[in-house]
Amino acid sequence: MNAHSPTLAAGFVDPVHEAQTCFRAVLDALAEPGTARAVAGITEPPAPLSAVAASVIATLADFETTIWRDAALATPAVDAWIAFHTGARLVEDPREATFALIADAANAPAWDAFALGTDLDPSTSTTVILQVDGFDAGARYHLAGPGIETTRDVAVAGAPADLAARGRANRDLFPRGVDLVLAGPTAIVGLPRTTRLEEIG
Amino acid sequence: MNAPLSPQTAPAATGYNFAYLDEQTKRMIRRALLKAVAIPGHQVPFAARDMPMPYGWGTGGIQVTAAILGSGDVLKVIDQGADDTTNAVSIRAFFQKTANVAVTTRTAEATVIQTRHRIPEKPLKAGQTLVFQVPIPEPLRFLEPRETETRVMHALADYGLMHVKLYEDIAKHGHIAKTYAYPVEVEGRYVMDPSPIPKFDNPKLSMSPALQLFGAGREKRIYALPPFTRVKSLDFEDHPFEPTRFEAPCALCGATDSYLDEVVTDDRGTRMFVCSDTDHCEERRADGHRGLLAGDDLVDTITREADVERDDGAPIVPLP
Repeated sequence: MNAHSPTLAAGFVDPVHEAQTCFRAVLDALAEPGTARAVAGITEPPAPLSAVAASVIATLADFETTIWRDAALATPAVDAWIAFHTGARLVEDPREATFALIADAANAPAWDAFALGTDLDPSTSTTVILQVDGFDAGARYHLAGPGIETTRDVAVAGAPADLAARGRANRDLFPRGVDLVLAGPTAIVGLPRTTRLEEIG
Repeated sequence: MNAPLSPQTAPAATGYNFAYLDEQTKRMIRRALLKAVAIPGHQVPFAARDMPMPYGWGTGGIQVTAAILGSGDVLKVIDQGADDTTNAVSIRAFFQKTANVAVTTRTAEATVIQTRHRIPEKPLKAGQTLVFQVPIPEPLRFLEPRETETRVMHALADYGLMHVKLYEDIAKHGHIAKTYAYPVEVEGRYVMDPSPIPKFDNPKLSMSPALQLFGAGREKRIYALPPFTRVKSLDFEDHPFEPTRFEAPCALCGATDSYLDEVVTDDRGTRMFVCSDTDHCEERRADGHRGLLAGDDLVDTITREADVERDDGAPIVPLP
């Protein structure tokens, strides 16, 4: 081994059960948009990849999938970590991405830069994993749609300022469109393409 | 049957991954499930694997269950509402053996319920997941056999053919002659086959607090209904959808609000109608509800007669 090669940060300690727990959190988050679901598992991924986003990507990505990451995440350490722990192919064109990892939410590309799926198979769209600061403060949104009995309010700190407008544009494409997993410091919130978003300040 | 099942009837199998499927397969199914939840009612293709049982025995449902199941889950498996028929017993044993999970027959205790062709009578709660075994996921299959065409019809939301079929039923029979696998429209967009559940169960699909996942193994399709999704059974304004109603209560527990199975009891045409949901029926009887043929008076009579006639001092054991 090359003495100068950086140490590779660990993935799941117990891949089978930790990935299952994390998957159920993602499933529940997308099935009940706006509810925060705790995600634990991977503890120290290479910065700026967050522990929660790392757990989600390690749970879902493998050699059958592609990953697009934003400029902030395009570091040799993160690339090496993704390659080792998932085997997924990194792509530079967001339209080819099964998953997108975004650390710099303020400069996130428009959602329609990603794969939107087709009318015949809308399930081929990108799942965007967006790192945010948390769900205790920040802009408040009023959510409605499948998975929500009446309406549900959620606060997101560190989301793109135009999240509601992006959501509306994405909703208009239905059944095409991207699905969003917001990765906070300890939990995720899902915003699938069906969710109607309204900013309430 | 209503007693808690023993936690382990056979030792957990070694040499398999948790819940049988390898992690690569689970990830593939999990990705399909997430997209299915994001597009309610849309059939997502997935690479169904060969399972250690033939197609038609619930391979789709089993793969979905295996992909979501965790060591803390409590699994219930029903076949036409019953916990104690071959398919249900085998699938339950399969997951006890390969995942070592807790199992139950009680609807309220289960976190994951795999079902063949019924939705339990007891209302489901938030946090529960219902996994349907689906033979034919395509509601338009018998109207248009070409998959290439039905996919276009779904893409265009072109469901005119389905409405014509339902209209022809009314023209011929005076009503929509579909009693099971009754097509539904999900959130005003996709028409979906709810699997061959009786149309009696259709209203339970809509606005359910539980997550509903559908797996078709041979057809390699997964679809889903998130909790609180609006699901409408197709109908016409002048011929509204009507769930099946029964004229008599359950012969065992007296329930008037459950789906009943017809049981032929002799070779002269005598029959009885009993709850198809065995857990519901047993819970009601445990609570003291009695139907006409519950058999209590019979047990009492035999016990009393035996009491009088026995003189050897042996203990009296009432009939089960």
